[in-house]
Amino acid sequence: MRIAAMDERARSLGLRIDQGLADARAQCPDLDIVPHVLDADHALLNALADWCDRYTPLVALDSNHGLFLDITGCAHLFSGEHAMVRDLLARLFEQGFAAQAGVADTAGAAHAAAWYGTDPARDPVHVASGAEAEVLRPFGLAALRLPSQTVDGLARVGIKTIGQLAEAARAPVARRFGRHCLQRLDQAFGELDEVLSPRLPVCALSAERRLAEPVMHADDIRQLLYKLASRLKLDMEERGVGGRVFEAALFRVDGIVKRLSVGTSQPLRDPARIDGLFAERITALGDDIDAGYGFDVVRLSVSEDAPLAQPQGDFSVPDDNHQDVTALMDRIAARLGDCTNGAPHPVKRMHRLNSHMPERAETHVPYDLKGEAKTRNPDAGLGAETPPRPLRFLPRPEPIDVVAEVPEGAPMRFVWRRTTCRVVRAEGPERIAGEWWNDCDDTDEQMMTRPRDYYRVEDDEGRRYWIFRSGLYEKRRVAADEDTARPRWFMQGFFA
Amino acid sequence: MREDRVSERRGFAGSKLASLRAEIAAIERRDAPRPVLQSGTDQRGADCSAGPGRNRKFGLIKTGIDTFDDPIGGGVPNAGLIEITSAAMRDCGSVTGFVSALIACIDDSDRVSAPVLWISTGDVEREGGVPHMRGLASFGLTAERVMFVHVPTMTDALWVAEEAARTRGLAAVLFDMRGSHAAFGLKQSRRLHLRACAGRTTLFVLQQSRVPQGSAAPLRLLVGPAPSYLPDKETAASRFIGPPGFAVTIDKNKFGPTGSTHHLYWRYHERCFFITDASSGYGAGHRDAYSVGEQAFSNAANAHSGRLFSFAGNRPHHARTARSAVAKTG
Repeated sequence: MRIAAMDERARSLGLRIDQGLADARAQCPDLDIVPHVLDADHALLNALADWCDRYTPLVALDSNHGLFLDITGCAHLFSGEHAMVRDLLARLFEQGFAAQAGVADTAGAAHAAAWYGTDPARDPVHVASGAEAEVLRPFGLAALRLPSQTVDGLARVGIKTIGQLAEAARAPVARRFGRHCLQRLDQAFGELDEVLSPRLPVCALSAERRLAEPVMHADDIRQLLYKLASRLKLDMEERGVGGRVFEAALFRVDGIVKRLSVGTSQPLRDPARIDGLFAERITALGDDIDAGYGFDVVRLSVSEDAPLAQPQGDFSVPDDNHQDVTALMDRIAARLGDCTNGAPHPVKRMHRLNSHMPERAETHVPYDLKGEAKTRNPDAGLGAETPPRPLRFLPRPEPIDVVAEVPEGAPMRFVWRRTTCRVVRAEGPERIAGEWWNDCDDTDEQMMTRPRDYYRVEDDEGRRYWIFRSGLYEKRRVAADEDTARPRWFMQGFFA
Repeated sequence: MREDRVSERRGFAGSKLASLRAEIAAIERRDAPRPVLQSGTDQRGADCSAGPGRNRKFGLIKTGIDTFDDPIGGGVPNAGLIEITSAAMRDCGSVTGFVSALIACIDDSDRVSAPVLWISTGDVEREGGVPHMRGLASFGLTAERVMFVHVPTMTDALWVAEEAARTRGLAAVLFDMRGSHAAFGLKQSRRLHLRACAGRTTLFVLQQSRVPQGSAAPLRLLVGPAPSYLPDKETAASRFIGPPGFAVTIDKNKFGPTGSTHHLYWRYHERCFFITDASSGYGAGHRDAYSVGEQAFSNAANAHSGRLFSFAGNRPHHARTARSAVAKTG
């Protein structure tokens, strides 16, 4: 057991990271020890990264202890880099975090400045553009994010600071310690590009509002979203696009970020409709949106867009019914499903499959499934020639007890759901052969592979059922599996 | 100036009085047949609960059977809430068929091929099965017209129904539920009805195995099965199943008397209802057919080995030709 992290007081007592726990206890008997949970750390860092979205959309994780914020082009919104970093640190301090920051042109230099260049009591280090080599020169090699073996190895040959590494002959260093250490050096000095991988994709368009006074009520949030949507509308018109997925990020004062998102089946620009969709989403979440002490930043972004031509009004067709129906579908999706989590559209359509087995003959597909138009008309040729099919269908056939006059004939009466039905009329059988090519051990699958004889029957009150006998009567049967091999009857559907 | 105000106030009072009178008249009209109201007194054009002589903005779904259409004011209203109920869950096929047939009877040009939203809630799909595309297609509800949404909770289902009722461009909305819900009472149904009237949407509430409960729907039809009717003597004696039959009881009716039961049958090819001559005294005739059918069955069963004894009585002989061909090749 070793120490993974500690606070200021422990540090002042002379404890070290990686020190054995027994040693530390011997040094200082009344230590408070909490087991280190990596996942919880990671979750916390992620939440923090979410919160940092308020400064820039490009936030990347730095292993398990830090965050990279790409503030290119964002600093002026916070009146400069210095003010921005001060604001960031002050807010983090208010949330109870001890944080250090460094600002530089390159990720490597910023990392070094943040970790090794500051003392928490002083101002954060700002590495001026082009001054990386000069500022980083006195820093230890650990600041270059090198593995500890490499750092130790370099120390053994007398290279202890970044300056020494920069002056050393490159070829021998690369041969002995790998290209990695020089790559890191070049990245820190800005001679090589370093690609950060942001946690979230950057939205095509976004608009946000910062509030002096946090808002708590759903109505206020909606009003803000409406205003943001109106602002986005202009941008979207300029680009000739409409949004397919909209995301609203609500930044809570205490650092928690709520994200809501809605999808549309057609590209959309109209602020009123966007607002309406968010209204449904907010209602559906209900108390799940815990406003806490309120939200101080509200951002609306278009995460997915599609070309949308400016529609031309038409006097002769006053209302477009199609628009209304798609709007309804979007509202239902916003209320009942969450499109961001990959949940399919709650509204379904029937889709015909290539199978004779009734259970597999059709399925529900999401309403907005792409490529739907390509499937051929499923009802083509479904006329009088095809055998009748029920109006309502039991996807899992229910076993029934049947009395038939001859084993292979139509039933005379049957018991379904504890009620006896007397069969007055019967049509059949319609034999559907099993799908032997789908043979499988599963019991459901076994049922699919057996041939079925379907009957349409009418009871003495006129109800029509679709029942079937699964399996055939055979002369020779192995006694052991007599029970499983014996034909059984099932209820499958209802006719009008 | 003063005069103006007085006359204005008087005018306002007058219109209020007229609307109150209309309201009372509407309440009174629920009882026995009444003289038709003057069109002038009916102030609210969108009110669907007006009497038989109402001048409504929206049309009717006419079944074409006068004995059924007349008592309900000329046909099923093509807007507002209509309850289609059944006494037992096992009648779900009849209820579904009857509603599909009614939708097929809608003849507004803009609704003929418009989509239908099918909302199912609770465990109705587990008990009564899911709607089957090929079965519905035979009633004219093709797969591209029907959109399904299953909503587990009643609150959300009511929301969807209300939103759908406001939406133009839907041929009809079906709200499929099992039994009666505490969450679907007088208040909710009134709200849905008004929404549907305002949006001119037809909202069919299918209540499978309903227990009596208050509701604001102007029309409630209790649908059950009707035994097969086969006019042809030869087929009637057999065990063939006839065209879909519905025993429709007018359970609640704001437009006329209630309690009468009508046996309606559906003709697939022409997509229309028809009635039998003997539908009044149907029971006796049916008994006969039944006993003859029994006899036919025993004959058929004895001669079962390889003999085809069944084809659908309501269709031409496609099935027979197809099967004999199979038998020959096999």
